[in-house]
Amino acid sequence: MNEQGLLIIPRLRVQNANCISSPMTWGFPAITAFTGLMVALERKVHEHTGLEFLSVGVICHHFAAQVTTGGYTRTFCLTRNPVDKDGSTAAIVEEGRAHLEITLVFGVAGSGMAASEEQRQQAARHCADVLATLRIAGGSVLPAEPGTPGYYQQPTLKSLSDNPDQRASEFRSLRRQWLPGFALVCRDDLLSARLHELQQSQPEASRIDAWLDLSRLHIRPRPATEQTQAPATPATDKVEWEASRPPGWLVPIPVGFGALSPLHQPGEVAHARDMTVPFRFVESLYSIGQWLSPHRLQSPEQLLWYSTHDDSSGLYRCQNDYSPSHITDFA
Amino acid sequence: MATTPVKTASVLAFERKLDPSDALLFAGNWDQRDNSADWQGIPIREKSIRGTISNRLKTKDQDPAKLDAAIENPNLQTVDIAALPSDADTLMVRFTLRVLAGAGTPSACNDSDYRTKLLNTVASYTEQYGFSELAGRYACNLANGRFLWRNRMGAEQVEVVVSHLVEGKATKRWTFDALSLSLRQFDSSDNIAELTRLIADGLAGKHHVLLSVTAFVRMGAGQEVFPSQELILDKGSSGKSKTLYHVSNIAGIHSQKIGNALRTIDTWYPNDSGDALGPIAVEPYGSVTTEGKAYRQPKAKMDFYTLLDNWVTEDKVPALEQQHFVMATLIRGGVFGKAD
Amino acid sequence: MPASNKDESDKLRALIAAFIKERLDAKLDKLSADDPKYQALTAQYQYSSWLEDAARRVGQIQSVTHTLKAIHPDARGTNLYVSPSDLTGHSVLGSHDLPVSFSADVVGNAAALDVYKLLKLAGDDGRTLLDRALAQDTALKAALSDDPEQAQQWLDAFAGLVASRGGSASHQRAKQVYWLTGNDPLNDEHYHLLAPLYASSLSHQVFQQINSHRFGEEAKAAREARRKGEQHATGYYDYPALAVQKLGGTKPQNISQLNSERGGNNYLLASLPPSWDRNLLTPPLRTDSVFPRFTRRPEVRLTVRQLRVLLLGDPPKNVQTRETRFSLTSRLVDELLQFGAECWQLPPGWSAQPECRLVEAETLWLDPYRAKDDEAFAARWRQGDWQQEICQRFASWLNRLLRIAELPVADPEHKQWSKEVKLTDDWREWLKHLEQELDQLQKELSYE
Repeated sequence: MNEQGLLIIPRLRVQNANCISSPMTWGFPAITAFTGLMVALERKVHEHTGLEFLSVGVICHHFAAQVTTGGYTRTFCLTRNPVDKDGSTAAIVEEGRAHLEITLVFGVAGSGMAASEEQRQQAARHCADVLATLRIAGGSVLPAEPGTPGYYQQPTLKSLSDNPDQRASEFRSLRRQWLPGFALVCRDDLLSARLHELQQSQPEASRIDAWLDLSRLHIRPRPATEQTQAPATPATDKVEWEASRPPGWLVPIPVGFGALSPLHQPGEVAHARDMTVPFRFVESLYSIGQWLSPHRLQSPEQLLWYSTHDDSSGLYRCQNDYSPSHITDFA
Repeated sequence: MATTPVKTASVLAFERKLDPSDALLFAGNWDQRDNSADWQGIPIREKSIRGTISNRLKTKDQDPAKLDAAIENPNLQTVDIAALPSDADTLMVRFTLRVLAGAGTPSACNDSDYRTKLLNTVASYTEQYGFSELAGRYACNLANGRFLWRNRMGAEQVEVVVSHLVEGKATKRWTFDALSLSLRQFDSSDNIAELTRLIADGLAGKHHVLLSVTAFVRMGAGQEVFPSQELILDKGSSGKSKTLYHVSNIAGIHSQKIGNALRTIDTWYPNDSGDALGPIAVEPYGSVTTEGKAYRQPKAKMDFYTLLDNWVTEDKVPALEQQHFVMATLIRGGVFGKAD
Repeated sequence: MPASNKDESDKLRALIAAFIKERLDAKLDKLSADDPKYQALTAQYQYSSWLEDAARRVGQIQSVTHTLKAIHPDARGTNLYVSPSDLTGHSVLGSHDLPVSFSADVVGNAAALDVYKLLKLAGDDGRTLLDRALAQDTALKAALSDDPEQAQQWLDAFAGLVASRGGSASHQRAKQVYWLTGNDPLNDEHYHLLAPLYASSLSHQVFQQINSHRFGEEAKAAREARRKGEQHATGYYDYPALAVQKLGGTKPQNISQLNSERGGNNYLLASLPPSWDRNLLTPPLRTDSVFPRFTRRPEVRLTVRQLRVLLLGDPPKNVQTRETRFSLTSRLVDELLQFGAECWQLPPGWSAQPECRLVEAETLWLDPYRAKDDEAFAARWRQGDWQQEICQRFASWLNRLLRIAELPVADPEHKQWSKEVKLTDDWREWLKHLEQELDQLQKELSYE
């Protein structure tokens, strides 16, 4: 099914979201937190709005993590937990917290899209009210700061045309509101390309090497042809070094889960939180994401993430259909 | 009618239903309270201090020469501090409080029989008593400014303004003279009674309640103020012995700390000493971090787990005050299941 | 038994015996021969009695690739050993990408870790005793005991090291997430419950790789070379904003063996969004243009420098050059649009202050919401010729910057390369894109 509309909840302030997004990454919450949020929201608003939620995009306007910034590595600022029953300090489990300001864009469909403009705007407000009572990546939604202009807070439900060209142009007219800010898109293609590239010179290179290579700075002497010694300044024999990173704001991200066990029948696993659904042990899976300025997105599909699942390979992942525009491919 | 005994679920969790934001600290003047939108955030500053030797010395170190040497090697350290500027006599502390519906409904429970029994138990409590006792105590802790913690001590005047926000606008406001209200008892007044009804309605799910809370603390120009302190395990990386919490360089009090003050309503814990000790924060074992002590020890059978299990699985209805305590713990939220 | 097998099994027996003797010697070292404990220990470390005890104690530990306690130290439940080669080869990163030589982890009673060390002993061919036990290797079986029944029992016990203990179990402190697998989120039956475990072997591999880049000899030499401003063949790697999470607090061994080897440190790579400090946002007053301020942005400075290097280097006219240039120019346009939008966060009407001396086109671009309360401003705004002016200013700004390069202006090459900047298709396209974006802004706000 295709998205027939976009529900836009602008400038949500989220406090104390969990910023440890997986066992190997920290920073912006995992995209699975947002697909999970989408499902929780649909279950609460479907009856009232007739909306079906298919996908979710996220634009980050502000991000502040509670971490130490001195030194070579970051550590998390914790909060003191209540003491144990014997009065001793309870074991500290390190949790990372961050405050975010985000715009959420949900791809929606369903009977609710056939409603009148006014009903749709009511539905959008209802969704925003319910969303404010949900946890987002474990964090709480704060009301807008006093004095925030109204045009930054108004949730809207926009319909999208079936015609791809018109759809793209409707989408492009929305992007301006998402500045300043960056949208998260998926770049599996870069991970594969880098792996391929590494294997040209080191056949034994693995996806682990490729993933790490895209997550780091390479610091090395600048090639001699590029040494930028201006003639005005006397030449020294010091070699200039530079840090290079792959183009684009690329980040390692968790994208979902891979099965470690067969699917257990409901009730088969002791202490499952729900004895009525099948259960599976899984591990996090990782790819590369890119933070992209929203005006570079050409269609809703490039922004939106959706969750997929394949029983036979045991793959549960979030997918996004961004593909980089080519030089000739301008809006 | 014989029923099979219900066992406590092995996965049982509740989300918190009183959800405060972090509080932010601003500076201004007492007679400018009506223009508080213009008040400036209080920044955190770093300060190097020279620690003096004041700890009890071991016998071997009591040699006067050694002591002099120790004093000449002062213990230099960097700490964070926050204070009112010299032209502002009043601290403003501002946060919002969301009251969420569904108190007593678990967010996770893996035993449907237990879940049914639990919901019936909660329903019997709310039908009989509603949330007015608990809401009244939460309302008092807003009105009396307990959430100011150390900032309340030594203040000349404290005014707390609570607004009910609907679609971003304050539809109703209550103003309290916090210092006239006790921290040891839960007083009531017309104002508090109105606020109580609103919080109780929110907990009962009658409507969504969002409160904005602003406290003005007249403490004198240039006085030190007290934001939360960050807990950093690896001090080496920051090189600082005290790190204060801030949001975009405005000093702040952690939401957890605000929440702890608001739920400081438990006066029903066992107390052998006979002296009235005043309310403690609602915690499963009645623990008080500052005292390193827990007032509701399992052996006294007055801890949350014993009371809850008795109530839900064995139909031993606790005394009314303990029912309040159990409900308040469910509103606090937590992971309470019983694994074998 | 064929002679070669006999030979192999003798070697294994010697290997095991040496392992046991080494342990015994370490204990006896502190005792005198007439100490009663000396006798007891010697008996206990007899080949078969030690193995019998080891076969019993192996039940107290489990070799795993995925652990639960690293998720939450109070969680109890299933830990798993899943060989990477048995996992589906997804196209994204997971434990299936581990090399054959990966490190397995151990959970359970730390007092039984010596049994694990025994089973990790490898013969000449690199196969460990554990590999052999799992393969029901006859040579190992013969080496364990002359009594075939006894040997089989022990072999099975050792092979059990990787077996999951008890029934499958999760825990309320474990992570358990619902995943929609059907198409109806309202239907409770359309979900699977997923319980992520900590991929300990994978984390260990990543940890070791990052550590060698941080503290290895090569990395140290490269950092030293940089400090001294010297040449270096390869340089080094830096993981920006790398975080260290402590697992298990002061007792990392309670989590697992590998966690203990890492000192309880878990590396987390950063996936931070680009972020700007809104506290630094002040109205651009007392200046006639914001472009000098724009130039000071670190991202802009870096990009302009890279662009200059690229053009100065007289690059071949191929696809790669085009793509690099495309990526650099696009970054500048990104930054300009982000920069403009940051100014929109200022209280509307800031440009009406007397201290504001910006040229009109820039105020129209940067303070659009002023049009709501300022009719004269709104009228000029609606005229909409300022977009082209911003584009022109942007274009001449870049040209000027690239011209302030190291080459003397008289350089004949200069003419060509400034022409290059002006005439490249992508740059022209980007300017068109920018103008369209600004037009769009103008149109939308006119309707608001």
